[in-house]
Amino acid sequence: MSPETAVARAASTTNSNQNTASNIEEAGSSLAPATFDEMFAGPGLARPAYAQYLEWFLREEPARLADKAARAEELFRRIGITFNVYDDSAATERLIPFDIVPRLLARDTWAKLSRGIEQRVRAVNSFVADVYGEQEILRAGVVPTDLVLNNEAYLPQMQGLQPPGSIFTHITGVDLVCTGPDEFYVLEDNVRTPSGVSYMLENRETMMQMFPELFSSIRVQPVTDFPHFLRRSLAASAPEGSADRDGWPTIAVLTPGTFNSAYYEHSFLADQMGVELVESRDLQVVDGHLSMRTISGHRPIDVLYRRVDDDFLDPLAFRPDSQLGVAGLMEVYRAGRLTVANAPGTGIADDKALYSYMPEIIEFYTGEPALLNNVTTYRGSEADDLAFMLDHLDELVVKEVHGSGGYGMLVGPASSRAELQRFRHKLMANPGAYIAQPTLALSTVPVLAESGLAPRHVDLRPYVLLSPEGIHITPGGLTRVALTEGSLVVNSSQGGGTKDTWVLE
Amino acid sequence: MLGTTAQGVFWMFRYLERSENMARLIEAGHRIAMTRTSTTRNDEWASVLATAGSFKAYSRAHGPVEDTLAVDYLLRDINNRSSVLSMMGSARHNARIVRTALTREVWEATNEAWLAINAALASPVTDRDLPDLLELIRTQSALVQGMLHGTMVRNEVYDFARLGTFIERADNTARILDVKYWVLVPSGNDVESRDDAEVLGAAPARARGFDDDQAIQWESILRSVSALGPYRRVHPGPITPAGIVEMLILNRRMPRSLAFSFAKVTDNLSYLVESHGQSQPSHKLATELSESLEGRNLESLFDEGVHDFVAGVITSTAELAGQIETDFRFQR
Amino acid sequence: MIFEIRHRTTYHYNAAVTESFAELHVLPTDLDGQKVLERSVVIEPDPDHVRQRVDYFGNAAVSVAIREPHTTLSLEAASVVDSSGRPTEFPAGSGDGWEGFTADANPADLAAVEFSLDSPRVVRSAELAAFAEPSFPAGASLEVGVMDLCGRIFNEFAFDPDATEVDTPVSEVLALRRGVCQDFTHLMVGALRSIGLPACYVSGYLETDPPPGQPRLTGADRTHAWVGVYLGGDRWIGVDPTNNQIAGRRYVTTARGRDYSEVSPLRGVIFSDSTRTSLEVAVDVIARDQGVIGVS
Repeated sequence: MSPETAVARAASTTNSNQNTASNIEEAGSSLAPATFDEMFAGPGLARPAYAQYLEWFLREEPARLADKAARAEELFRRIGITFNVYDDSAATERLIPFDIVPRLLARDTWAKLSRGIEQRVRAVNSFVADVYGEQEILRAGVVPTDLVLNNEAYLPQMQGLQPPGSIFTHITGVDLVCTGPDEFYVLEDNVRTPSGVSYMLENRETMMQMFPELFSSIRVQPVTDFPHFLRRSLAASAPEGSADRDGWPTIAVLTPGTFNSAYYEHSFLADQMGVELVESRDLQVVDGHLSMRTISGHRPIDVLYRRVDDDFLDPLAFRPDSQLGVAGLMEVYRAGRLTVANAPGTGIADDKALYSYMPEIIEFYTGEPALLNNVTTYRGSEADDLAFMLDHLDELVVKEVHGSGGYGMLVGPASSRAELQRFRHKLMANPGAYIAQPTLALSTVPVLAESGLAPRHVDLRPYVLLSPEGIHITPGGLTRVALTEGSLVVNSSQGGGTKDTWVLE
Repeated sequence: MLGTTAQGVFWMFRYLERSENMARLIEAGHRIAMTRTSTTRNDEWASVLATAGSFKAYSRAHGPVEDTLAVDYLLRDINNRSSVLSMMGSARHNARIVRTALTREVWEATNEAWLAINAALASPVTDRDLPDLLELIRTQSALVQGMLHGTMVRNEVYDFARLGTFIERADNTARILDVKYWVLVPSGNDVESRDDAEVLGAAPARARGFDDDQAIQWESILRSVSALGPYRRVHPGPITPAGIVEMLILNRRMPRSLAFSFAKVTDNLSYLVESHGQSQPSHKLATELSESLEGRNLESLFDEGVHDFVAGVITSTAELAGQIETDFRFQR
Repeated sequence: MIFEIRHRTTYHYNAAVTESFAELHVLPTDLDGQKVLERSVVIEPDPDHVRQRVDYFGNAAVSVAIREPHTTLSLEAASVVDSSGRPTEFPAGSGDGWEGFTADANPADLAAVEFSLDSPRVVRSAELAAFAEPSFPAGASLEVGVMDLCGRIFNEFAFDPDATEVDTPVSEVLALRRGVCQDFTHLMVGALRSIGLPACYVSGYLETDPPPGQPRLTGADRTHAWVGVYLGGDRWIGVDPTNNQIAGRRYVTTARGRDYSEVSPLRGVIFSDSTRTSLEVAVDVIARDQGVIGVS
């Protein structure tokens, strides 16, 4: 059935309780012409991937959908799937808003995309292995040496360390945006401790609970087996010879504690994998092994999936004032008696200053041109680029090289003159700390607003697992959506929400 | 199982039990206060504060005891670590720490209890709404316990949940007896002798009934520990000191009695010993405590002096809790 | 020359330490032309774990974990080192213009680049560059420039153990014009890097009792520090601004790093209620009777 007929038929059976074709039309037509909407090809005209979904949507009563949306929120609150916001002392736990309209990706679109993701993630791992090994890429002059060796994310303590299978980036979250049909750009390669996977899983869980009929009519690739793959992948990365009496390596998830913004996710993943969730106070180095204190004594850990930043992992090797790590951990790691996932120092690969070199990095290690687009990036550290940035501040997105979570960033086109002026001073005071990129025409996917479907900008973060055994890419990932009309900032700390992401079979 | 997980589960259930006990205590206080004049009413709240171990802290914060202030302090004051609101927060905080050890149902029930009680305590509670509120607290607590029973594997996590519950319950029952013991003194005795525990040993007093005021107090206390009905079935006739002691200390079927609580503590420690294959000092302590109650008859208890006995139980309970922490490596 | 070195460190705590983890850089290794003949380290109380490895910079690093409660911790490192292979002068070729030794001139030599960048304790600056420049006129030889800078620090700065702390920044040393060997070394390393020359921080020892007729040097009886100047091709030369001379055969290198933070003799973490720690350090560097050893 073509999308046109779906809408037409639905419109012909319209009654007052149903979503009207006219409010759908509105959804399709209120877009700026340059914006690519993933659901609508034109007013009231669904793209093929969404045809079946829209047909279902039009038959639903708006009141029932609104009710479902409210129930979803209730569900999330009950589960306690919350995050903490920094600089917000009043309410420390918040829900991330969830939108019940899924984001759909056609099978072919995904197949193409995942080839690009695999290429990129493998190259990023090779890059980290090289930086802490032979440094061939530096010798070849592909990446400026000082950009790597003088980088805060570079850890000399990691030099010469060879983790099992040469895997450094066990878990990667690739931030992608879509700008047109099958046109994706990579915004960031999150290879430190990418978060959000629990939202991806809970979103799917919630959608299956609320709309079971959709899942029987539309075939969606599953994501709920992610914890299983994560555990397998971590186990495959364990040091050689580490298996306890059950024949499995002992895995633990290290969290900074309940006050961390992603604590829910840490406990969720530990629970789903069936492994212990540990904090610094549970750990000690005993007989040359990292061990956790159990009620009947110390038990060695083989793989530590750590959600604690590099700096805090070991007060002996890094920040001496850290209360979140374990003294002597790096020594155990160096001795080959522990796998740390992700390896310390992987942040060198998602440093914003190095981002612009990614196409060259990918080609250097894979011998092929990069399949995924990289956004043109201007570097404040370079005089020509800086001059361009200052001249075009109102058209650019400016980011701090070492910032994350949408803090300290400027979206030129959406900023007032005063804001631009303020940022100009910051930029001139410390140009090397900033990079800039042109604003991309981010795609939109409709959300369920009070008036019906309304387009909002989205991004996509698929999660990728790498181990000596192979690679696993979650079909889909986490779709983040900027809930404010016209906004391009999808970060949860800045008022963004999430959607379930469906990759069609 | 991690030592800190054991610690978290143990304390989660101590706090849950303690906040439920607080609601029960307030309920008794409220009933007793209703039968009093406004001045003696405040005395009753002073005794509730004392039982909760909060009298000194209250006095520092508010001075003389005043009923609405006292209720608010015990229910809602977040500066009071023993208020229901604080304790529910602590219970949930511990639950979050040990989330991976709980079933989703137990976690969600705890989270919902916290949400519901938080919402109910968002503004001061009026006299009129107090009974409903106390009911809510007890119901939410029961939901968590129910989920624990219905969904948890009987493993170490379960054992520590039960240990926390019954250690706390024993402590609470002992404290009620400790504060109210003088009320056990039947009428006719010299008021000056109230503090003299030996009075309790005076044989003729035991079987004698209470005066009306004392009877109302004990009725309220028995009701608050869900023991009034059972009491009447077991002990027909007026409420007597002997009956109270039998019911709250020695009765092995009364779920809030000392004998019952320590039997449960001993059982759960036995399961832990079984799964670890080595006996622990805490198991020995609990067994001794439990046995001291098992072989006990009323006569010898009155001979020893009920107050001294109860004070001894409070000390032993604290010691036992400390030993559990050590034996199971709660901390480094 | 052959030296017997004994380096004893004792910590006293006023409350029991239940756990202690440390990383030591106290054992010399075959660097800078020297040869290590023997080396060992004895730790009290008996550690739960000891492991020796070669760190990123090629130094011997010893990791120690002690899990026995203690109020005194003592570490004694002993070694025998033959220093006769240490260079005593700049090699031929270093008479060329200093500009040829900078990182910019040798972008493919990663050591040249790495040791000319900032490090945790030494950050390049315009002030440091201005301080270095008088010694390095255009086209001057590397040797002349380095020794001139070394001499200026020796002459213009006063040795004063009370003027600075272990973490006094280089900028402050430059303003104060006084300090100890660690300060002078950081200063000189920072000045060289600020004009693009790669340099490292070297920690080690000096002969305690000088041969007859030679002066006793500042910094004997304790651990000493000096500058390593990179000559390209993995070659280094030691220069000691505290004593204004090449760090030749009366010196023994224990570790090389980008600055003090990477080579400190002991870096550790303890678990304790201890509020006061007192520390005793004793270093002896004794030349073996040459007749006995038979080295000329």
